[in-house]
Amino acid sequence: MTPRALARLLGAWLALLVVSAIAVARWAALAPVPPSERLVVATEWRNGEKSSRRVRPPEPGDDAPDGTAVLEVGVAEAPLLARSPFFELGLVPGLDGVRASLGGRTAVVTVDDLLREQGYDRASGFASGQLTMGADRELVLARLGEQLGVSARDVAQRATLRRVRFERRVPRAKPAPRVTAEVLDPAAVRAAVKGAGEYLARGQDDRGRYRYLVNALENKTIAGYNLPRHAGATFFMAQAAGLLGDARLRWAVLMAAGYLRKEAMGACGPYTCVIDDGEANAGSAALAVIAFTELVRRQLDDSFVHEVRLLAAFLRSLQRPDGELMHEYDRAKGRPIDVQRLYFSGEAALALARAHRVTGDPADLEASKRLLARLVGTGWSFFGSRYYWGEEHWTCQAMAELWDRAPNEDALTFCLRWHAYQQKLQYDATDSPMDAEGAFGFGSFVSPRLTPASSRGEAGAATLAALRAARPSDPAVGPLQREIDRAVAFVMRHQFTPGPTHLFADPIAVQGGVPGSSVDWTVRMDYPQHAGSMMVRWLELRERAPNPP
Amino acid sequence: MWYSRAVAEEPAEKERSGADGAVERERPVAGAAPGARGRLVFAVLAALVALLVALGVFAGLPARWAPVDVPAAIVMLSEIAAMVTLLRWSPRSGLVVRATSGLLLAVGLTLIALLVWTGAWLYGVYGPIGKGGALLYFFVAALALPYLVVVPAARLLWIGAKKRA
Repeated sequence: MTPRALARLLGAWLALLVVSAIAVARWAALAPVPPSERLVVATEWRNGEKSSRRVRPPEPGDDAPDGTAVLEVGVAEAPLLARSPFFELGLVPGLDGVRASLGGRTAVVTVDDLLREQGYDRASGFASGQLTMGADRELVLARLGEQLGVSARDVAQRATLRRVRFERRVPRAKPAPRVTAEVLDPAAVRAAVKGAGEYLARGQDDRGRYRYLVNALENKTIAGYNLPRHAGATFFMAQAAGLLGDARLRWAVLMAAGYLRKEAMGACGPYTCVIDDGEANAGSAALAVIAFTELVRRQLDDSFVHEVRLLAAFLRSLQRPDGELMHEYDRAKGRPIDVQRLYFSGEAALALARAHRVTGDPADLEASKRLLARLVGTGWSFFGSRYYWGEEHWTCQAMAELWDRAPNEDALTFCLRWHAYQQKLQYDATDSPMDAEGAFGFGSFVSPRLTPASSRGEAGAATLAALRAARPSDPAVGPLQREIDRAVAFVMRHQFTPGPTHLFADPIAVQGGVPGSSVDWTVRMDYPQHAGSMMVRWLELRERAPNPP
Repeated sequence: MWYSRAVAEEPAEKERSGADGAVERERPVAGAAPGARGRLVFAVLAALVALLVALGVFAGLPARWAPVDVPAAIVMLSEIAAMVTLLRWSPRSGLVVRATSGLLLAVGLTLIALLVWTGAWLYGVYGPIGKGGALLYFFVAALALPYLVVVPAARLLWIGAKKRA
């Protein structure tokens, strides 16, 4: 082949590619539907169930309905391919529904239908199934088929499908102002903390256990329990009870802490540890210490100093000469197992730092210092460590906790780098069609999760407190404050305060809960925990510096 | 060694002394085997492409999917054939090199087109697809470009030049 022939071939290919790519993008993009031609889906909901539905053309008054039906108005449409994976990825989570036409009949699956059946972000999973993406194709086709009187397969093969962007209009609803970083209000944040605390307290049983995992739509508790998360939630409850001076939350946190003390603590050789399903590890003990120390610091119950001493001694016994912890304990053989698990070392560093504050035992301080030095030093030292990060939210809280007694400049630098990296991953308003501003992630196809925003905000506020103490005019102060503000605003926008109550079987039961994402409406007890802890730290920062940069 | 034999069998450019005593290089005649160095370079590149496709698709991708696996296997086998042909030159080797290069170029251009069309479709559905998403597509395309487009294009030019010579 001659150079000229090759250049011609590649040039023609490039030109064709550019033109075809523009055509594909325009074909897939939503086109606004004129108001007079819009599809209006009027649905009556009773206890979260659809009781009636009418699909009709627009009527006067649809913009501010005063009936009993919730309106979903199709404001824009685009073609939708029935083939997988174009179907799954062709619907924007929480915004798009589907219209199918077949033989002169029309069927509609709206956004509320998909939210009610939890049909978004369900198609395929990765990262061990923890992250899922894509609408549930089988579910949508089945629902369309039921309305059209044909099988799901017929819908896929014969129907004309359209992606519809819906806007919801709830009768007599007052439009709430959008919570953004720019308008964050301490009173509203306090109310959000109270809501998260009340959600956890409302679900407690008479042993002091919270509801672990709740399907918020059905208000059903999903089986399972996790002691480290119980301890983490108890930490937040102590923060909230102390901050708000709320008697109900105080009662709830004492119940929860009492459960840990009475039913979860046991012997690990000569030490006392937390036993979860017969097993003992550093994470359970560390989070229990974090919770108990908060009870003492907030003057909710000083008697927990005793348990703090016992558990801190157990944690110290797990420390290796290089500062790292052995994370598990073989109770039968009475010795630690030298394995490392995600989060545990950061949690233990924070636990020991907090333990020292209430016990005054210098051994706790020394152990925490050594562990933190290991975490930010040799524990995360390899070529490329500036570009790849673990989950460091506990590590950075440990750094901040130690700052007034054992400042570690390397740890502060480490946390500032971690946050600078996170700031690059934080969505701005134009990064996603979803309401994702302030969340953290890599792309738009998965609805951003709330808890990573909460944990980063929590650690960000701790890091900012240390940075202000060390160098108040550091150039990182402003970006860090903005990162936290945006994370708080993002989480508050998605907290059930009260959320779309027409879709909930029992809206009061889940009020204040923090779901997994804008379309995953399960509430695990650590979701409100991290969200609430972030907000408490944000309020404490605001108290110290009422006019941040 | 197979590759040293291939190099040894190469009818190298011959040197002869002209009437004025200057050393002249004798160019290979049309249809003769291309230079040993060139063949060795392109054989190594063919092996590298085969290896990268094998690692990228059969070790890197978490699931088996015929629309990806079958073309990848064909490219892999084709590049191995190109490598062997380049090292053990025969009168038909030029044809094989052109065919395998054309195949690899076609696969490369198709892959990049599919990535661009997918990106365009996602842009249409989601609007701005996020800095991370856009960067990911750019890097996947950029990683494919040298091995699946530049290598076969260069090989086609090289073998074309040899034919014209």
